[in-house]
Amino acid sequence: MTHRKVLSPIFTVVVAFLICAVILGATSRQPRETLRWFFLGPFSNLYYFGNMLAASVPLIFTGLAACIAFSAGVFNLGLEGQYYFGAIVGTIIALSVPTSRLSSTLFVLVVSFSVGGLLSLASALLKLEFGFSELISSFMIGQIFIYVGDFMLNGPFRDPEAALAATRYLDEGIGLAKILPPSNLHVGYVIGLTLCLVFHFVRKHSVMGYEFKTVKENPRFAKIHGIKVEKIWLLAMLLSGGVAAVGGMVEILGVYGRAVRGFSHGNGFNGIAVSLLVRNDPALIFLSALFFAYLESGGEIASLMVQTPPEIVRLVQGIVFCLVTAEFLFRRSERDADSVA
Amino acid sequence: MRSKVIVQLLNVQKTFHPSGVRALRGANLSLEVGSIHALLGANGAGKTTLVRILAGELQPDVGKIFVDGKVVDFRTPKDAMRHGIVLVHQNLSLVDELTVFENLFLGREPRRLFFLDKKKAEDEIGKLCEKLSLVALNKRVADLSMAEKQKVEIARALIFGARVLLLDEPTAYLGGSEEERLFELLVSLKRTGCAILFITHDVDQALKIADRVTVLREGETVLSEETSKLNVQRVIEAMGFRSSEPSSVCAQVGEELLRISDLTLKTGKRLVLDRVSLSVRQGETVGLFGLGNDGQFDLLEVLIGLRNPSSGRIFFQTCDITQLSIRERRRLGIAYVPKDRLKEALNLEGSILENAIVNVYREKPYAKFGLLNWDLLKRYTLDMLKDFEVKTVSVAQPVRTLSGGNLQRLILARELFQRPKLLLACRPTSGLDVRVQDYIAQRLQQLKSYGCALIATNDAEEAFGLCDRILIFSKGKLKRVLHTEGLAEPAVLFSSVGGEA
Amino acid sequence: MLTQLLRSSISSALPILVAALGASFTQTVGKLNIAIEGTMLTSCFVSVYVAARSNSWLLGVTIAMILSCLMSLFVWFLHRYLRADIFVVGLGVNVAASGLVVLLSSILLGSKGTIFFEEIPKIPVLRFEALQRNETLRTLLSDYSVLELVAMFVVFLSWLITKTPLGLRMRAVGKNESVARQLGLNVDGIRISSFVFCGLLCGLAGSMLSLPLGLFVAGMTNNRGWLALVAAVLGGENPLGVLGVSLTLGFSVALSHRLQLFTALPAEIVLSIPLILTLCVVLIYNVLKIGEKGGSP
Ligand SMILES: Nc1ncnc2c1ncn2[C@@H]1O[C@H](COP(=O)(O)OP(=O)(O)OP(=O)(O)O)[C@@H](O)[C@H]1O
Ligand SMILES: [Mg+2]
Repeated sequence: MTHRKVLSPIFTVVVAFLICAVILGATSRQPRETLRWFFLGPFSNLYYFGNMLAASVPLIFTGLAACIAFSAGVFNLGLEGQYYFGAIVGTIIALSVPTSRLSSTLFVLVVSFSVGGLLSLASALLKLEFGFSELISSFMIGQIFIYVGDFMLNGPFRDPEAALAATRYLDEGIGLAKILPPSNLHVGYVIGLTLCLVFHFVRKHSVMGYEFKTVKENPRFAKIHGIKVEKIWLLAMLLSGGVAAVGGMVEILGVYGRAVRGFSHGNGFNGIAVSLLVRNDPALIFLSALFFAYLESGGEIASLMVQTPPEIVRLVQGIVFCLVTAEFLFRRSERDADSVA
Repeated sequence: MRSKVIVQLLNVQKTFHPSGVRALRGANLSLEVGSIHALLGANGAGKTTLVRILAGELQPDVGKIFVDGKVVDFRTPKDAMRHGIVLVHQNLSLVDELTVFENLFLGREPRRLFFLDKKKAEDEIGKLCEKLSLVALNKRVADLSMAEKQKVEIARALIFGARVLLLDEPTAYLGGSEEERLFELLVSLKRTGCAILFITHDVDQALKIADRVTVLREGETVLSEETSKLNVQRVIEAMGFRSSEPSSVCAQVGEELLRISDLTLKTGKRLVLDRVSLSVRQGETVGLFGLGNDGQFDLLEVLIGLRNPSSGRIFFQTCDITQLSIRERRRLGIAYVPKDRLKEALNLEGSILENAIVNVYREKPYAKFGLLNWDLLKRYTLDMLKDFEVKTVSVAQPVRTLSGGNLQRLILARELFQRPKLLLACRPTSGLDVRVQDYIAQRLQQLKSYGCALIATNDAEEAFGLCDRILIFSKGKLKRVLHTEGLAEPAVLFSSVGGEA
Repeated sequence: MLTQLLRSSISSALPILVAALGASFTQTVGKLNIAIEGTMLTSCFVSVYVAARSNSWLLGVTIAMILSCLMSLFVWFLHRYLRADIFVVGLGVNVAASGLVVLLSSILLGSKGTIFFEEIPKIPVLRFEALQRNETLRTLLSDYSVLELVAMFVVFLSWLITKTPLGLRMRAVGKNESVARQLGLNVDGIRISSFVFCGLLCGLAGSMLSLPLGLFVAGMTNNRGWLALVAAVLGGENPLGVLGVSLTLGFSVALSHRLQLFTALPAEIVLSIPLILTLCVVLIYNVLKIGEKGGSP
């Protein structure tokens, strides 16, 4: 049993690696070099390693955000929009109200939390009031606000001197401290990790965690026994959207220094995959976020060092996605195990 | 005349993994053409497991199954069906979202070219539906009553050409008259040459209907006889019970705990409850009886706060609770056992522990500063399980591995262990073996010393056995009040409903 | 003007509708395939490429449909037999497809940008002579390309399928898998067939995007796959619901094209119009239908 549990992921990784090797070998002019940079690049020096960790930060947040929603049995597919729009509003506020250092960092995080939270809360309310599936409404509202965010960056809040659609740079002082200079790794990593552990603890040991689990597993049962199901759903959605937006803000404070059009590039959506990859276990989210970031930075390094074209990188990433959750070694499980008397 | 044996099980054994429960340790059974067979046994004796093996849902570890004298090896339910063996589950297996018609033919649709041949299908079932008085063919199954759903299941089994019909506790959700009708149906099926096996906890019923009775005890067949050679006493002893007279302690009737005035409930345009008023005092057990779903179950849902009444007030110990939330009502000492055990009373995905603590987890010693004290909660659960004799291996076990009767015990234990002032219960003893039924009756007696109970049921025996006073409902109206002391037998209830309706 | 708007609504709704019906088959069996976007994109490329090479649009469509069928079976295979998470796999296919098409076009055609296929065979257009005289009728009812007519026919077919025993079984499997198993339904077979339908429809939808234009760009699907998913989920398992939502989407896409041409609204706002409009329409519909609370357990 346990043997299999350890072997299966290893086997999965090996299979994924082999398939990628074949593709890279077939399409690249320097297959050996490409493979090396792709898979070992992120570990080749501290700078790349730090950058990889930094790239996992937004995924930790959005992964946690997805996990929070899943934990209460609701779906938040609007993470991308919450991440993007929440952070943009946060940046704009930060640019317009200059205050002292630490408090303003906190303030900005709170602002983006509320913006992201409101977006997701809206879909939760639609679900409760009209029975409108939050799965789809969160996705649509998220998409709409991505466009709104684009508009704000390209229109009213664009820095006229910038070459691309972006705001002005934030004050140096407000940004998050770097951990491993010159790489991008910043304090946000620690914040994200802490939040995950806190949520892990909450799920296991708190009243709220028990209520989340019960509502997820059987809302009718929960309601009959006095759990306020609606409240739990609203809370889960609010937290989920909020955490996603904080993730976006942390990314801006830690890496970009300003809001740039399209800076979310799929981080929100990938959060869902990050969470699913570890079966929604918050204590392991950092690992799967790291895995995603690893593929991302591997691709970047490979294209930097040996000019691997981006489409090959995407192809390889896609194939790894397909395979990561697959299990290659398992027995036809005991069918009897799940039955109702 | 010796009748022909159609199905025979020899020394069947089954152990469940990973819990290691030995559900069957050598069960034998034989079913004959044109006869009704009753399977009895205490809760957890392995009855459900046995029929599931026979229906191909589970595979035995040891033992042989013969059909028509030949050894068979069922891997899937389909294999069993091919031999004409169909199981009607205790928790029925219909697709709620489809219509009756669609459910009946699912998997066996008569077709013309690629399409469903509706006409042929209707022809096929026309007679059958008449016999079963099944009319609402285009209704969604979700909107049917339990009895109707059961009929649909039986009808489906017959359409599939069942020669051997296995019924797992078919009467668990049925009211008295529905039960009668079901048995009439079974008898008429028997005449057409079906072999019928049904599981029940009611020994009298088994002896009355069945031609042969088999008793399981801890997974072994301990008795298998023609009914004519048996009496109640012997069967009960075989199950491992001492037959006992329920002790009836007369409790003092105290203060008024619950008063309802002019309660009306509407869903859409339908009047579910029509100006119901009643009052319950401490020390009373009051039955709410209706032949089918006559509003008695809905009344309990209103009382616990699941539904808002259209008008009327509810008072509990002098305070008006009409506007209170479920949680607040439970805090005041109201407990509730819902009708649908599997969907409402239990969280089937969770463990026994998680199911057991749902009423107390947020209260003081168990939760502090929003954190749960799992050790304390575990101890609480173990005490509760011990007190109510729920058989488990560990509290972390998934709740779905418990047998039907143990589940019901767990539910009642959860609600009663907190010593509620008012217990609202739907069909509390259905699916329980005689011993546990007595035990529950005893518990309700104890409850009287500090509280009261309202029991909604459509089973006259149950109402009669548990309650001092029975309120009779018909179509949402409170028709009559009967005191059980003066009555001779449950059948009176039917006539009293019939007379008024 | 209005009739033209309607006409272009129909044209933009059709690919979305076809793909949405495909997705709705998988949703009916309880396993929503979210790889629609990637599957459509791949068949966009394959159909034009094969059509240009073989000089037959029919062959192009056929190959595209077969290929996207294989893709959706791939998703199902990974999910069913290797127990992979269907959502993650779908995401993976979308990402991989976006890389794959560019890779293929750079290998096969030597370009990563927009590719025009000049020698692509024209898809025949059906013209009703009787309708030529009345302008309104002509714009609305005539001049549909064969591909569009095929799509309409396919839509009708999928509606028919939901009425057959197979459709019934699909619903049963999606609603209650364990009951379906107990009744001896071939659950896997039913699911596979729904994935086959999904693949075929997505292949058709993809070809409808690229073939009439005779060109290919990497961003060609332009989120239509996601819109199709929206339509599938909102419409539920009822093909008429899917039809309704897709038409709404098609109309608002057409409307936003108009607005882009004739007004000075910023592009971002115009792009979000289809989503906003559809959200509103569906919301209003929901409110009217339910009237009271529907979301409580
Ligand atoms: N899937 C399972 N996994 C583990 N244990 C199981 C499983 N199913 C049943 N059991 C155990 O096997 C024993 C027999 O169960 P079974 O359901 O056959 O009892 P039963 O005779 O039907 O009882 P009841 O009258 O209460 O329904 C019980 O102790 C039960 O807990
Ligand atoms: Mg049982």
